[in-house]
Amino acid sequence: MGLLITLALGLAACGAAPATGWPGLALSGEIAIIANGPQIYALNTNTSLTEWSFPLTADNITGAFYVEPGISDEAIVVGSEGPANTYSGLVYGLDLGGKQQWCIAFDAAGAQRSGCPNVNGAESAGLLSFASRVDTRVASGIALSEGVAYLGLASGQVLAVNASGSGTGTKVWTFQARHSVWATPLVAEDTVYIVSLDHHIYALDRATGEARWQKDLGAAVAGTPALADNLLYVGSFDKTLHVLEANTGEEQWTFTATNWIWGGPVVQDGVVYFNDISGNIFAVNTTARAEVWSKKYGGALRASPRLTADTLYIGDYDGRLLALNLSDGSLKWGEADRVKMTGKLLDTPILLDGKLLLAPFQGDNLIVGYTTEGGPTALAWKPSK
Amino acid sequence: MWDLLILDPLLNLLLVLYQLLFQNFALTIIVFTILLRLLTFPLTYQQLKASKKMTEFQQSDAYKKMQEKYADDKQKLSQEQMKLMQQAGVNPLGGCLPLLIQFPVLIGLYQALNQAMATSPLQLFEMSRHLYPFLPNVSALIPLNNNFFWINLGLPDPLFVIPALAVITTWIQSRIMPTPPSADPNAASMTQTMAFTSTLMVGMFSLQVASGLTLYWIVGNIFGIVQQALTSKVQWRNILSFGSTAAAVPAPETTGKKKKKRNQ
Repeated sequence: MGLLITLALGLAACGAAPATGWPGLALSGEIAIIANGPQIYALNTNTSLTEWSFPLTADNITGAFYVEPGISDEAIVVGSEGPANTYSGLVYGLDLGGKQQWCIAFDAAGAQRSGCPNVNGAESAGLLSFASRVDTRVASGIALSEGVAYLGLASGQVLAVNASGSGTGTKVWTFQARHSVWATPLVAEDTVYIVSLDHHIYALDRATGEARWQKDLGAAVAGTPALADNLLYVGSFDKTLHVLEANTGEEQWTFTATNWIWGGPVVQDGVVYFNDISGNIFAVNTTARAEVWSKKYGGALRASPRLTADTLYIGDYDGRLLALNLSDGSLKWGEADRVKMTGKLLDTPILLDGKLLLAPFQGDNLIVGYTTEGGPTALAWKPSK
Repeated sequence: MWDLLILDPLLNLLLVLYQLLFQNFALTIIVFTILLRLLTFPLTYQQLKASKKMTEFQQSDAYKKMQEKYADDKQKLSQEQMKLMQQAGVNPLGGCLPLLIQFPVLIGLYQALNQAMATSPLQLFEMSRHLYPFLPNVSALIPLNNNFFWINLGLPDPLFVIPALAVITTWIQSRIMPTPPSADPNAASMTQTMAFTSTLMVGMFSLQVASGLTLYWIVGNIFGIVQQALTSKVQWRNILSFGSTAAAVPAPETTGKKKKKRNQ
């Protein structure tokens, strides 16, 4: 009996180390930077050639990369979960050619394993520190603004780290939320907005990391808020789009969807566009606070939509790329399944020179390109084995 | 089909229990495991009964005599064994079938616990696709409170207490389990090796996986031990013995020995 049960659990748990996240995609000029598992890939979107990868070959030190890299004109910052089962994240600063410039760890074990300095060194020490295990995987996308990288960990710690100039890899400040921070921080002028699974949104002073205000939204939040006209738009797992005054956090109005709102909303021309995980897409007039349209075409929607002047693009769990007319939500390309690929589309499509770049999770290709009219492009790439 | 029949009901039951049990995930795992083991108890009981019957059968005089009589003719021995089993109402697969039925439930349990403890966005997103829409206030429960004393139930135990308990309870359970007597020393040795191997595997496994899963394992083991103690006579002294737990059956004389005797 015991052996059979062990075998059952073994069968359920073993096999290849499962992916713990979907690919994170970002752009550096015409180079697509893709975080996917043990390596970061830089792909030339014109030639479909790999420019570089980091690390050069997969190793057991850097760990798994999934979160969206932070990119500026002079640096790329990537975050990892650390090697499997270590729960000990790392952050690497790279130059635009993919060469490592600096790195940081968040706990002693990660520092020892990787050789990167522990930015939390003094804070995590203590007589009982051995007894508590902190999950320091990098869990949020990285916002890189004016040489400072802002990121959140699974432990709820939020950090601002110098990413360029002198003192790279040093901590500017740190803030502790009550639970994991999965959404990329929103940096706006002198404030950094953080949302957390602890049901709160925090407005932090960009220079010091001190909380200016915080608000309990009643459910976990995993999508980056949108800021427009001094109002914050944030979707939560209690099916609610909250609209808050950006300076105080005071709630102005709400809108109820049909299921968890995971992806961050996008505001354009007085309309806020967002979706829920049941596959519903909503357009709500921000002045009238009323629905303009809502549509459901495909499978579950996790990512934020990508907008152009007249079109909303979004990928669904079933691998469909949808294009909707912003005016009425009708399908731009006719049939909903006109563009369907293998894999699940869990990240927001990226627009580049009339091309849509997508990184399907568990698809045949790691990155695929489509024209904004739904036609295929020559771009379909996966790492060579 | 798997999700519909196994994973979804188990996962949603887990969340309902979490809501009812003061949002304490450790308590939820304990109650969940006991409930599931109670539900599958009729199957386990059948398996224990079949196993006991087989043990009695193998200790019967008729069986021993038959073993001796056909020691030289394996094929005949096998035929006669089958006949004797039929007469005695013993089904050689009686102990396996209930176990096989429990197999998918165990795998489903593992998956449900793993998803409920979602420590990554991917796990949580997958979980969200399995929630029953009529469950009230699930969104307010997310993320589940994984803290239990010094342990984050979503991570391995840094003090190795939970893995140690898993090893100890697995060992106890494997040692008190009645093993059919075997005349073959190789079979007895294999049984012992299996007990060691499964205990070691559990130890290795629990060092790597979330403590919540190991907690489920420990509770299941304790339930199994109590169940064993209540339904049959347990040889507690076997726990500290590292030899075979199988009752000895007089080995039939080998062909060589018989020939030797005949020659004398």
